[in-house]
Amino acid sequence: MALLFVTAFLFDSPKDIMVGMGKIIVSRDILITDYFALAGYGAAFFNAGCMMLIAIVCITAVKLPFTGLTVAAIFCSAGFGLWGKNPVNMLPIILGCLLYARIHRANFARYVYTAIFAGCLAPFVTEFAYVLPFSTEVNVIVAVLLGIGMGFVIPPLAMHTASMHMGYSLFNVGFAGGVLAFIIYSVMKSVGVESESVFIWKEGVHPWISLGLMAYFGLTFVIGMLIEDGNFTGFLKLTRHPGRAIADFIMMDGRGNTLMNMGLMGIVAEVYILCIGGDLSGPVLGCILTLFGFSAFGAHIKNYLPVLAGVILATFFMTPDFTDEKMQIAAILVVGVAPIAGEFGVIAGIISGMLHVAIVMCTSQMYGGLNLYNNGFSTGWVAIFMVPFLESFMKRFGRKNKGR
Amino acid sequence: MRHEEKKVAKIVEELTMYFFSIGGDKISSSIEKSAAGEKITFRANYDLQYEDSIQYLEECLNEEKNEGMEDIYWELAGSGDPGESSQLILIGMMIDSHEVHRYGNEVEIVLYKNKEVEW
Repeated sequence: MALLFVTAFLFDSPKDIMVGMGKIIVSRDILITDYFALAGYGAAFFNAGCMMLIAIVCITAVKLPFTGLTVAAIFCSAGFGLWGKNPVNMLPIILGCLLYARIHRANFARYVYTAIFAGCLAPFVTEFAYVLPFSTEVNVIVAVLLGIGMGFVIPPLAMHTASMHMGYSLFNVGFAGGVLAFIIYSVMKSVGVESESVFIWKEGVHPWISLGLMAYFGLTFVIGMLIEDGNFTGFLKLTRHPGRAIADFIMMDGRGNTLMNMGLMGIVAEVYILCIGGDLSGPVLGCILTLFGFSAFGAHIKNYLPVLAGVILATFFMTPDFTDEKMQIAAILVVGVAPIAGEFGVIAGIISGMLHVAIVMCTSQMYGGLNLYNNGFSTGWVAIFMVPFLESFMKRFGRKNKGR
Repeated sequence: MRHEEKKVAKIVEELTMYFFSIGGDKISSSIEKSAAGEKITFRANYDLQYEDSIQYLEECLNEEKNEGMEDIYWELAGSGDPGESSQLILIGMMIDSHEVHRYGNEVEIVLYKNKEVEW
């Protein structure tokens, strides 16, 4: 977190950062709104730091143990703080989850991860402030109330979506958020409330960001290696997990091995983007940070590479522009279906990756780009479709994994 | 709703599936519900070649309680067929304390899930 704030002040002056934060807060946040392009590097990194801080404060306030899911939540929060989430549009949703806990007389600790991940619906809060037909002041109040309403509805929904995909999608709340976003957007359209699409994207690769990110991932790997005294046995054991939830690598394999995995995954993701001539834009960097975080909770090199191969194949047949913005994002966030490759093998992983690309191209229109975890919604559907078939196939021809 | 009774049933389901996967063919369970919470007593035999699986079970049950993870993933407990990746870590995060007693190739597990202090 400190690194994000330091990076922000290295890029821009405090005054420019505050001006940029103002732009971030008042802008519409529909996919794709790149905060690098909208408000500058300094403000974007500062915002990401704020989002990470909010996540950390929420988790530590309820005294939850530090696990792989904690890492996933805080890095996902930071990542999407570069393209769509900010403290103002996020807080009503957290308040909604808090209200849900209060009404059910439950400890907020039960819903804190859901509250953090439910920030995927944050663009709705800003969008309502713009598209509702009342005065600005009333629009803002209604938008906040609707945001609280969304935060109130998401916990029971997220609880049940896990059993739909049986843990084979890492982005559970993303799937729940997509379902809710579809419902809300449908209601909006039915009453004549429309929103226009947005595309703000920073092209190219800033050399300092590229170098800094690579150094950060490399350092993460080295620190993990030092913790394990240079022993890779535990790291290799980690890669034998299929990755299906709950695959909390910090709990199961220890911090050193998890850090090695995270560092390696971050390097692979960044190298892929650089090799295809992609952009280290806010969305892409945000996705890489999300992948980095989920490398502590289910994703590793052995289950990620097959699904990435599927995306590459699909891109080749469909566009074949590897630098298409949606393809770049899909290539990183396809990590959500990595457990399918981990459990059922390379071919299943490749097919899942290809299916993910096909679905994710269509799903954004279902909710007008207002669900930030569009790829999370897609990975849920891939898992729901693929897993029953694969399981029956495995039963017919004999199980691949047994026991643990 | 917090689905506490469903969670207890899921815990029993997960343990049942786990012991099926390690050769168990004599499995029994009981649940005692009180004002303090629920007590689950689970008894099963297993194939002695899976001794390390019992060790793994004890490690998982030693995990610290984690309400945040419990509430998102409790429905996954017991999901899938015997032999698939287990959710024993999830069980460990759902309970407050446990005891494990071994009798040859049989194990008796007692799990305690305390009633949550209302906010």
